[in-house]
Amino acid sequence: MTNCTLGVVYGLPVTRLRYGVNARIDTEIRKRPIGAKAEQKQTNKFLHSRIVPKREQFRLYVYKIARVSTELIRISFVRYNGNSYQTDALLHNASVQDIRLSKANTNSEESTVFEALETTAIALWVGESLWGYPIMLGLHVVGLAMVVGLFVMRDLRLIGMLDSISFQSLLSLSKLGWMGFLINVISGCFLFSSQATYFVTHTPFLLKITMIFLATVTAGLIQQRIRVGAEEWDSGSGSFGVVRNLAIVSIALWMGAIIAGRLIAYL
Amino acid sequence: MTDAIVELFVNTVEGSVINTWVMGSVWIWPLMEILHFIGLSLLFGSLLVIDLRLAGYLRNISIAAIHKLLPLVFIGFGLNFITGSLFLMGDPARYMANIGFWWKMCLVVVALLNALWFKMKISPLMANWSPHADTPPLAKVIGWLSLGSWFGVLLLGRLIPYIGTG
Repeated sequence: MTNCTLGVVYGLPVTRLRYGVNARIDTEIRKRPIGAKAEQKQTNKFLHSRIVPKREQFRLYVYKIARVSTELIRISFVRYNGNSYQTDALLHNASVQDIRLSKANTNSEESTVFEALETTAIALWVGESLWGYPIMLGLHVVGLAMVVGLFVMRDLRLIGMLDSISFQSLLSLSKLGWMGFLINVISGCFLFSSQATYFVTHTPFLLKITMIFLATVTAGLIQQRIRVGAEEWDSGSGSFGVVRNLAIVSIALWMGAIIAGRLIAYL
Repeated sequence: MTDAIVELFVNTVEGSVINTWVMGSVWIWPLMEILHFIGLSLLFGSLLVIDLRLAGYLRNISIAAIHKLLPLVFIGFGLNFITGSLFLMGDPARYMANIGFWWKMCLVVVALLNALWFKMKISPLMANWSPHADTPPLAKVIGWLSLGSWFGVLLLGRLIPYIGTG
């Protein structure tokens, strides 16, 4: 049984606690010589972690969390450095606290495809390196803005707004949207790999994927109709038929995907 | 000095009506995050088209479309300004201590000054431009600067929970 003590640096308020938290080795803090000025800063709660050099920070990969009350959560299982640890840490609102970890029994659970995926080198890099997860999240939000921004713009045009954009140019605008989609498929796969066993059973995630799938199919149907009808629509003739309804469905699906996606972090 | 101002701000905001309201329910924060994400999609999505057109690309989009798309940008920005302010009021200490937040705000200011530059130097001339032609060098600079700064805002914003106090 291996024991080590970790301190949570960015102890986020419980309502916002992510699946992973940034952490640092607590003993390193005490080792550092602290001058009078630094000590004064340390008492100042929002300047507290300035005294810790960056290289000592790492990501603690929280595996199982349960909400005890609105202000307290219990972390029962974490992974760090490729090893699994059991713990019984109670985290309070936005505070720096110690978590005591002990090596977990890993032989009790049978291995699945998703567990295997989670332990690949790439998944471990995403989940446990300092920057792997944030980089992927950063790309994911840029891609999201491109997909949703461009596709919703296309839908608004089809509904009858933004009338100085020609229908024929909508296909080239959609290309930008698809570029965002590609960014998000790739970054999304990376993010998924790091928490695969969790995501495959997580309702908001499954809901999000379903909506994205339906929105993608809808985007295909809409583009097919644009290809056929754009020239006529631009000249003021031709009927829109079902494409306006598809555009409304598309907006609803993308909004739904954002809502479900955001709720992944909370439910 | 700055520490004192920050501390005064944090102490004033914490416990205020808005602060209590934002933190009072488990659902307000996620709801605001959802709105913030919808806002950023509107803002960045329409700016991508506007800025690329200003930079001389997407020439099948007419110059007139730039002004037509601006309301989407304003709605997105407004939505995010309101929800963003509520985040700040809800948890001031966390944001004030976060170097990522400060960098993000610096880039927002750069982006807004750039928008002002566009408004003064480019916007009045656009009526004379040919709808599907290339754009002047200054428009290209402003377009790329806008894209770059908003891209940075997006990235830094998402990284706030991970960057910490630098």
